[in-house]
Amino acid sequence: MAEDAIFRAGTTPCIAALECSGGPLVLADPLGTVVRVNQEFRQIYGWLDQEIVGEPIGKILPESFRMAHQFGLSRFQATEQSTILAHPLHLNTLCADGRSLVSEHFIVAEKRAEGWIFATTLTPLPEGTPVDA
Amino acid sequence: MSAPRADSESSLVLELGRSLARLELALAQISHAQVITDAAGCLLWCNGRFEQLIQKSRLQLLGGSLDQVHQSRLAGDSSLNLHDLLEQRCHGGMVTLVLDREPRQVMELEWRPVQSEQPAPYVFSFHDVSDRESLQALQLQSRQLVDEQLALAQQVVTCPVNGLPNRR
Repeated sequence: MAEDAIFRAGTTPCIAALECSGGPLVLADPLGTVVRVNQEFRQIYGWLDQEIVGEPIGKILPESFRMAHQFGLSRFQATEQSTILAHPLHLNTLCADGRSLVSEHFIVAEKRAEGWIFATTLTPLPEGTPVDA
Repeated sequence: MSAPRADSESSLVLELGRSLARLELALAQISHAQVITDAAGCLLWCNGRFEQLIQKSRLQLLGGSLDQVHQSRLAGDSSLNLHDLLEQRCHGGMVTLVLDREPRQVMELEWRPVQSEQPAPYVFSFHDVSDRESLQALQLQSRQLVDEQLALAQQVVTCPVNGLPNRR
């Protein structure tokens, strides 16, 4: 789904607040495809727009996470119930160069006429921080 | 022609998403603990029953080794090594694990390779058979008691003088 189709009507207040937070941010469409990342995300995790925009958001997650992520995303679309939204999650996050950074992921979802959109803020954590997964 | 194709791709993706959701929710209804790992035994997915069994959330389990989870939470008094077991019996199998003796907690662990790719991932199923095992143990105990009674009965003879049963 093109970014324009989702965000044409303007960013929602909640996502706007996350964008103002100044940290790395990833926006994804209802299918979990990355539609926008900010400059902080590019700087810290090293992804270029052409490498990550249009790709599944699972690309920044460890391989072992992707199947459960797809299942969870599909279940959320069907039931609109989630156990991971709006909770800080300490997860490994893959950088463009293959490194893995433990980061706090804070995911919010908002329902638009076109479907759910997802915004994730990422905060890199000190090396050695235990992960939730 | 590109717009109808995009529409058809979108509807296919939506249909796939619905199928995945249906599958995930159906698997959540299964009363046995289920786990899918990659070929090396790294946990890729588990159902809610497994989370309850291990008392950890799926997020905490993903990417971890099922063998380590097994060693720390499910090994009981068995010295079973899942890694070795998968190497020896990669086509699947079943083992019984005694997790606790009092109260008796027994699990049947069954595993099969998933033929989706090579090397093949595995699906594991943990069946709690404690009730069945307890019942079998009780049946065995009662059979032993009956056998003892019968053995004692064979030692009883009738007194030729007063006709009363006497033990030899």
